[in-house]
Amino acid sequence: MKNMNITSAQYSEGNISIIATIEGKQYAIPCVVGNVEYDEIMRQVEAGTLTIAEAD
Amino acid sequence: MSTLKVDTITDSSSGLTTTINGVTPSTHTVKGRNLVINGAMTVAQRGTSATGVTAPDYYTVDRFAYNHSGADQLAFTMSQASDAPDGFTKSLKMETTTAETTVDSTEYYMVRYKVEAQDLQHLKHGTSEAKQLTLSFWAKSSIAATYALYLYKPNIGRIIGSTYTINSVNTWEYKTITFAGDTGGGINDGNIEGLHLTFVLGAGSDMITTDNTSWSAYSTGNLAYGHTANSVVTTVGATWQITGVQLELGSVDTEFDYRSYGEELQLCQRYYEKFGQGWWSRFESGSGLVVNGQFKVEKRTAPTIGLPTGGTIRLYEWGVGDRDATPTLTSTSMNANGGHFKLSGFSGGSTGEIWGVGGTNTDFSTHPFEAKAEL
Repeated sequence: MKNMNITSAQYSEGNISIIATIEGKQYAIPCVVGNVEYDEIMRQVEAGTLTIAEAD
Repeated sequence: MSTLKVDTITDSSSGLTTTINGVTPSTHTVKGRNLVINGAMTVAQRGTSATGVTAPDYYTVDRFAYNHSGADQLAFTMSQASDAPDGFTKSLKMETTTAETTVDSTEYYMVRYKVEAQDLQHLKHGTSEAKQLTLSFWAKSSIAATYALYLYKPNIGRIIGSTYTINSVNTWEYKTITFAGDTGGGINDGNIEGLHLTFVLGAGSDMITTDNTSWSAYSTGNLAYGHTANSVVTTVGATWQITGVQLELGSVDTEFDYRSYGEELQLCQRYYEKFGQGWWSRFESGSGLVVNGQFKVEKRTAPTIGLPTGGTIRLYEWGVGDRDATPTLTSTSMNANGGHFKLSGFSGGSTGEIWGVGGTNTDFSTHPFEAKAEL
């Protein structure tokens, strides 16, 4: 599958979730393996094409 | 007690009226045969039409996603059409609105359905008793050609494919294909992807070179063997439609296993649900809100939470008034059953204030949030 277009990603408080913009829309994504958005974020991080910002 | 062992039981007039304890067994009375949810395309929680579809995702009818690799110009309108063969009322329609100038050798474009792995263990794949699967569906296209489709098991990368031919343009045609059981590889158990059922709309020359009509390891060449219908994606205004999708055990295509709309909706909501009305919220600060509640249907996994695009969320307190905002998400702590997530962007709240969640400011009956747990 073509990569999701993830333009931003930032951990939320406690690093329990990631707030990300995917295809121009904001989502709150649980840090749970098996959630397809989380898995894709981590795949892109592993590939070096995405960085997750620290929580505010 | 005795045991009756026969191949066929028919009534005296060779009809289908033989009864057993007052029940006439037939495909109409045997439910649960279809491994495909929403095969009749009746449920479309995200909406009935999406224009400018370019990115892989779910857009209209539940459980059926658009997917591609390498598309350059291609754009579709993807819709739940009220055009269907007799016995059905809806179909999934792909209409090319911007044509792909050239289908490059490694490109593909497709509509995909994913079956959850734990719902496939009775196929006994990976054993000598691996079961056959029969796929049946109705298709209609403005392009008469041969179309590829395939089954793919992502956990072990095994694939089997076939083709069907649209003989007459813009005419509903019934298709059925039986796939062999796969003795060479199983399906991992659990709430993960177990099987892809993929309808190819276009494929490059590298994707169609290798015979895929028996189970084998996936390779680039066996993705879309036999596909000749690229005009669907290279012709503005070309259409492709499908409905009545059924995937069942055995070598026989039985009549479509109809479920009520309510049943289909609940099955779909394991993977996607619009929610919010009836949930309650509490201000953590003047602008920060915690939204709490429980999903109607347990999700496949902890879901991703989304907001309506550009939507305004409306809170309410009976007898007090409404409070609107176009908030942003700040965190989620949702599990498969529910939980809470946080928003910011409201104003004038007092810490501890409790508000009910309504719809949007333009439609109080609309669920304002979405929970995504797709495969």
